[in-house]
Amino acid sequence: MNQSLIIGQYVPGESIVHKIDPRLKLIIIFIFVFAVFMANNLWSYVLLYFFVFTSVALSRIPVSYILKGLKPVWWIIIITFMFHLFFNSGGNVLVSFLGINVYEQGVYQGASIATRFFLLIVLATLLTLSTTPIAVTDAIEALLKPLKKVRFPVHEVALMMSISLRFIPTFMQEMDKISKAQAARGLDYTKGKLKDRFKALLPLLIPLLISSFKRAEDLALAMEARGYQGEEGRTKLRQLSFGKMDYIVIMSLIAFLVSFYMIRV
Amino acid sequence: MDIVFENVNYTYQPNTPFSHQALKDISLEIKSGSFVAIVGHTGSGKSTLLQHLNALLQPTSGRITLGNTELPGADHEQIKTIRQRVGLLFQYPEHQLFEETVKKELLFGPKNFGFDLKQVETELSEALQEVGLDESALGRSPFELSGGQMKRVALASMLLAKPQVLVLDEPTAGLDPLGQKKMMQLFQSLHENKQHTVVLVTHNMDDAMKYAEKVVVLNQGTVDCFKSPRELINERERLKAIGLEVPEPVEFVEYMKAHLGVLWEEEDINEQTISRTLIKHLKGGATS
Repeated sequence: MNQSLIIGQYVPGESIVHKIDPRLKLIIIFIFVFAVFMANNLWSYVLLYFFVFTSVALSRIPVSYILKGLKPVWWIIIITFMFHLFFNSGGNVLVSFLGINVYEQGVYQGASIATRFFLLIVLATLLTLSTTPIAVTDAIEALLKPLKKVRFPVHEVALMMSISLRFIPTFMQEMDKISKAQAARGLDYTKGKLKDRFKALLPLLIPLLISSFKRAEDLALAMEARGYQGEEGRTKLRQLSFGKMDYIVIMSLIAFLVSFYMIRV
Repeated sequence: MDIVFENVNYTYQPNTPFSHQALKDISLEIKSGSFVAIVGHTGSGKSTLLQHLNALLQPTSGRITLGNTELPGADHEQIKTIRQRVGLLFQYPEHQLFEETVKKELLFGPKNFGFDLKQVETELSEALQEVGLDESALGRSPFELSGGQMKRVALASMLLAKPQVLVLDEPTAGLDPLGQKKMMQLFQSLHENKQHTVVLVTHNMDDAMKYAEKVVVLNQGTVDCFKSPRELINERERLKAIGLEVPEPVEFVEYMKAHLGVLWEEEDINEQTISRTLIKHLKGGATS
């Protein structure tokens, strides 16, 4: 199993970040995306960092764990930074070597884009680490409800999302099991020519495909057997409702947004 | 080949909030040519332990000696040799089948281990017979077969790679009672006639007591005890305490002793000794 991929892996906890309403979390992230792209001076970035790290600290999820999860993303951040560093030509020349000029604007732009990326990804990771996938889909369904007026199948989309999220770990486990079973039969997909390695994937993919079809069939049968008929007349096990904590968070969010608005130029 | 575990620890996903130590300081020795059963409750570390036997997992700390190979530290080729010598059959091996025909499926393992395929092809029908399948199955698709037959195909495919050690994870799961018995008898005959070492992972205490020479009882990642079935009979309370079922014959003998006043003088507990004792008891007249 890929152990550095942690997006979508819920870490159980009892912190404020875990407990606030998932709808509120989604709204905060939505607002934060705009805020990140509206920041335009040093202090506004400092405030954004403050916001993100306070959230991380409140979640009580180990920072090292979150950073480890960022591993696959570091490269994107670094490449973006480099790209701006070398290809942006605004402002004065700062350094010049091997015929390449590094401009003031390049450094500034590169740094701010990299920062924006970093902040967004940390916050998004925090969301998935502190919220169960089911809660996220519930929240999305609730937030998309207005779209039902234009006949958008909100419930069906939410159901599809939660089913696919639900089965990601199952398939990872299944994949792990099958690849071990084939490795025990001497299959080796870490060595040899590229063509051979692709060929070696077949003994993994075919059993996985077969078992996923079987699972889909079983699930459909089980749903029918329990009388599933779409959204009509369905109630929810977990009703989303705002509590005291959520209002406190909303207040702090407003305070944050106001000060953010005042700080930026 | 002997298998020796020395202070083996294994931790899943170390250094994360999901870190979980599945094996704690395991030391044991499985002698070449023996029949060992590994029993334990769900989550006791059975399948983790078993995956160490052919280097699918390597200890986080401690040392395993498989024949003349040591883990950790073995290179790619050595690991491949281990996997050929130690045939591992996971639970529900029918899920691993993927080829178009049974024949190709059977040749998959030997091909990976670099066997001479012409030679192996002459052994196919014998291998099928051994596991109780008909030669006519060779040309069929494995997906047309029933669950039990698919299991046998997987087993035959493993046997064709000529392992010295057979590691079997719940091999009889999902079979009907007769099929279960037949499969266990097959393992026993492989053990007796071909001197294979057999490591059987099971939660069926009856099977463990009946077929194994020694039983490893795992509890929460540690070896609770490593004894012969005969010695284990006296550990009823201990087995119960860690949530294992006491084999039915043992319970029966306990009942006879406690409620019928039967005098138990035998060492083994099986059909013969039970009937012998009952006959003796009845002939001598009821005492209680």
